[in-house]
Amino acid sequence: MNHGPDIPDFDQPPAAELERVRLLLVGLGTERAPADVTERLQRVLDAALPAPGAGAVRRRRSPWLRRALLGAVPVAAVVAAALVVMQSPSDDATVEQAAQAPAAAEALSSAAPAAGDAIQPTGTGAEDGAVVETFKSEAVPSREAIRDAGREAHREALRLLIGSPP
Amino acid sequence: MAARGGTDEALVRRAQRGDRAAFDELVVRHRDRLYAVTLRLTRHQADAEDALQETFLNAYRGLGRFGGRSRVSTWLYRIAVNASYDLVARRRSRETSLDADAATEPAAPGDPFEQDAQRRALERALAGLSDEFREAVVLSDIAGLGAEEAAELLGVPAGTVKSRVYRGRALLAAALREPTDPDRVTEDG
Repeated sequence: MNHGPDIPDFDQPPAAELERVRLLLVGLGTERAPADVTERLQRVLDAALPAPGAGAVRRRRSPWLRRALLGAVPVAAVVAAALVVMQSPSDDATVEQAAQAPAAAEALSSAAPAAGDAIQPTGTGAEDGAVVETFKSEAVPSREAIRDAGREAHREALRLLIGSPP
Repeated sequence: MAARGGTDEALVRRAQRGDRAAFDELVVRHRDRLYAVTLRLTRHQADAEDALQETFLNAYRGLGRFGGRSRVSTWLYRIAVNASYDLVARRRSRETSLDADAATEPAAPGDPFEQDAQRRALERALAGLSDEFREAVVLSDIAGLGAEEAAELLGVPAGTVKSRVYRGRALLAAALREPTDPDRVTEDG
């Protein structure tokens, strides 16, 4: 019944007639919508859209994304708590290491004069050899000495901080 | 379109930032012509009104996706055409058929053209056109879109739009020549 895109030939209307039709159609496009239609449109928009000043338009998240985000909240809380628990001992270790570092330096500096005394020239080759042995054994503090010095420095630091023996 | 509130594009940018007044200004600018389009595409007053409301609601929801690649009016007409055809499809699923006579409803009260026989004949002839010719004529002459814009909206070449507009007008002219036989436009083919 209706014409498809491949309609057969039809009487070609005069150009003036086509122009008249065009103007009639253009006239339809310039008509105002009925007042009741525009009023109902405004009511629908007022009911459905945020009030003026409600903020920027945000892209609506899909329901699955919203659910995923809500589900991630407790997981994130557990992970954060675990991190805090794991962080605490390492902080103590860091403090301990920081306290040990100057103590080790102190131990090294106290050991240095001893080494300096040990390398005083004595004039004989045999004594020189003994001095070298002394230097080798005393100039470089052992690991135990450094550790003991560090512990001692740590205790001293704690004594200063707390005011009483640990 | 530019007026007190700036261009359509400026209004969209403001609306994207949450300026509801800017969106309302867009509504006021385009609602009349969009209603004219939805009325002729749906051929049903209630559906046309629903399509108009859906057009602006969908436009608001889609503000974040509007990137300015096409004109605001083209964007709005695309939404309106889709909303209109959705409503037509829904109505067709409810009813067995929708012929031109049933679709032509009485003019709204207070319509200045109510007594205009020529206009009624035009409306009837327009409703009797096939979808391809009617949408081309509606978008070109009633909505005022250029051939390129209408082509972009309909997804066909601009030459096809021009051809359909010409043939659509010719069919309408033929129908208006014999207003006592409005079905002629659909039977001569």
